[in-house]
Amino acid sequence: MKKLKGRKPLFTAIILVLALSLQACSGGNNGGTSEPAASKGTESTSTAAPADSPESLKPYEVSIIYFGAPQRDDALVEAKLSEYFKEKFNATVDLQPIASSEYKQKTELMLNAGEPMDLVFTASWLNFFGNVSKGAFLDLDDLLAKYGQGISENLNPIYLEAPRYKGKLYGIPTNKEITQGKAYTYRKDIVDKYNIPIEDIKTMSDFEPWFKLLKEKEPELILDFIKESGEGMMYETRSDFRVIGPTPNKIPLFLYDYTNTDNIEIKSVVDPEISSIAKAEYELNRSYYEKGYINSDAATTTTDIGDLRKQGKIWMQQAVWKPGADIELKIATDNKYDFISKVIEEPIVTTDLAAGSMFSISRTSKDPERAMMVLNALHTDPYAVNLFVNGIEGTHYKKISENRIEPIADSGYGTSALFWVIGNQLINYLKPGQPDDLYSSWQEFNNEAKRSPLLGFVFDESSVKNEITQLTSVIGEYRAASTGAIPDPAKMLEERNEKLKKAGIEKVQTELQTQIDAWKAAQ
Amino acid sequence: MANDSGSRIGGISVASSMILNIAFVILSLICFLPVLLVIIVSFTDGQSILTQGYSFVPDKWSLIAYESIFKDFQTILSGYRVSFTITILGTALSVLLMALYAYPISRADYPFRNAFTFFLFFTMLFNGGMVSRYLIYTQVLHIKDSYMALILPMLIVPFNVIIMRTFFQTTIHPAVIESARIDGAGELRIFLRIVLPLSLPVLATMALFSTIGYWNDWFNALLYISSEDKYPLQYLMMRVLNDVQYLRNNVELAAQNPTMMKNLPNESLQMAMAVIGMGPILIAYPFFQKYFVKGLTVGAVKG
Repeated sequence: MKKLKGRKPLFTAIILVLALSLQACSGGNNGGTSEPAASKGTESTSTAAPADSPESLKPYEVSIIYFGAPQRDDALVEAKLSEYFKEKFNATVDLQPIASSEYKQKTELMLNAGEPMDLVFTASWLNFFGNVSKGAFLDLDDLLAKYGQGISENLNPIYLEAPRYKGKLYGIPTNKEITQGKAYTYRKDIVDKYNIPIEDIKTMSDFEPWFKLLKEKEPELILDFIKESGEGMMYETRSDFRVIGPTPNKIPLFLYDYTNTDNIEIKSVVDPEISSIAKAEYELNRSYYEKGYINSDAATTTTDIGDLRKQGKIWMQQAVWKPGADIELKIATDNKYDFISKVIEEPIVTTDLAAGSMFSISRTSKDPERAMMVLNALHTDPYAVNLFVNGIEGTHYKKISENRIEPIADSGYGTSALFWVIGNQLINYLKPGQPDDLYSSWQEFNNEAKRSPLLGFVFDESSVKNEITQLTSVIGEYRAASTGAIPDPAKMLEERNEKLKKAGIEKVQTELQTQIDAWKAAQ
Repeated sequence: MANDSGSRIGGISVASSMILNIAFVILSLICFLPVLLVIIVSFTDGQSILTQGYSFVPDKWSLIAYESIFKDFQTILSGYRVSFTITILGTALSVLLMALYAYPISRADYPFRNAFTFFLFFTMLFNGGMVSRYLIYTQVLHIKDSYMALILPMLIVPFNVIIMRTFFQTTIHPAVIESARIDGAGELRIFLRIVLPLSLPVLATMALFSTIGYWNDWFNALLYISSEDKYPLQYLMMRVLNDVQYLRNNVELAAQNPTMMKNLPNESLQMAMAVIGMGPILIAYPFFQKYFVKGLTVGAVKG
């Protein structure tokens, strides 16, 4: 061992300076102090009666984490909203928009890390129920009763049946269309030109003569655009079966008859009755494909149907429908084409649909009461919700009438689609092209919606995770079989079903049935 | 074929050198054409991409993609500023720190070298995963939403440190260090005045890796940054592309809200973003090149 000689002090000093400068660099944040996330405790100190006088409340900043791309003028809108809520109940807001592609990953991290946040946008497709079972969100029943009366008055009560876990409420759905029907949506000019009786077309097989005619007369059109990513609407058009449980790769595996409310019997896709429906549809698609009615790249295409619609190549599509959907499609093609729909499936309210867009309150919230007040305002106060969704009058939009606006192009706010995310869409201002009665027709649509007998039921996959992983890989192998681009689909279907049986589809089915029976018994 | 020295270039026959040249021309075209295509597509009219697909000779040229990007040039500028800042700072710090780590563990007479090498190597095999890293960054170091969160994660790349260590071991002869010590230099002086100048090739290599790494990094920004003015350029680009991807893959969400699809940037805008993102880094390479050519053959001990 040699002794180090010479400039040891200098060396040490340099290392020290380096270390310190690293420390210093990390200083410039204004994050709160690190305290462990508040454990369960909805009881907070302020037991003030809901007299919302700002004087009785301490100032508090409510953070709102929501699903939307950040926009240039977010800060302006945040300041305006804060100003408004400060007068109302001494709260300011901290807007935290997160772009759609990152939303799930980023919020999962924030929830796992126990970051302090108040209102968090969540949905059935953002693993809401998984997060609830992990205890990420507060139970909202009491808060809603105390500080969210406006929400309960406005919201269709069916909504509050869905986001429940073990009977307790964990999310407040955004007030919009509660469900969607499925429809064949047509380009109106084509329908008019050839007098196509869309009232009589109820299944894919009814299209045969019209495909034949259009193939000849309108060679430019893609008559039946199919992608590998979906199974179309075979169960909806040919039966009363509806999907429930896991849908790996968006392919249904389990179905139930929704008209039979007392005795819910789960059938899987390997059941003879179900697979005969699938077989008929697969073979029909195959024959359409051979006749050239289906796009030749159906098995592999990644083209977005919206782009093709804009080019006018789509005359018919299988689409989700709600009042005003045709107008939305028209706007999406820059008003080039008119659309007309024929609904062919009775819209039913399922857990997933009713919980498709919600706000929950994080368990790390330091003042859940105030978070609920803000949410209540976003559900009841047209000024607040429109400020959030459309921006500031005069800067981001021009007001045309009482409840109609004209967005200003490139204004720096209002391009992110927030209307279906924030609070209450039914009190949003109407935009160009939307009919005056849009929201009243939604209200009607919601009131008439039929509830699925399984509304409120959520399948817990934890005990059959391995089987589901295996089923997913089998499904992935055979996804293209339904598109018609693969020869002999009936044989493919049989092969697939054999493999699904081996992968344990029956075990998952039994588990699903058991859980449903238990859930039914608890009702 | 004549075989006299006139028809030979550098000792290779004309035929062979032709074949070699052609092979290299093809190779460089394979590298260059995709980049050219990206640039051309970025100047193509969106409608003609839809009808005609990508092409080197589009039907219709258009500047619309660049117009719509520069409409928001404040954001682009701030993205450039952040990207340049973290790239320059990060690279300088990263190379210095990695050299400071690699040099001691390259010295045979350093008693703890095995322990420190193992300490480094261990992190290559096991890491705590994203959630734990996120927790440390946000709740222990408190660097959420600061530039430090963009610089720190890539400061020390274990694999690169090991490459550096090997380079020091093989290139810096112990005799050089010995002779410097006899001449009265201390450890620090040896490191700064002898070892580093002799190791320019490896330093340049690491600087290049670092530069590219920092310039292209968007994932850390995704995790840790939340204020719009601290986003690096690559992240801003990535966000737009990912959002397009996301909506394309989530057909239901898009189908329920066709208006969300309406504002999607088209292909030419995406390519224009790629062009803007890659510009500076293309220019960086020549500055490093001279170190790769020279340097590697330089020795210090007379044989």
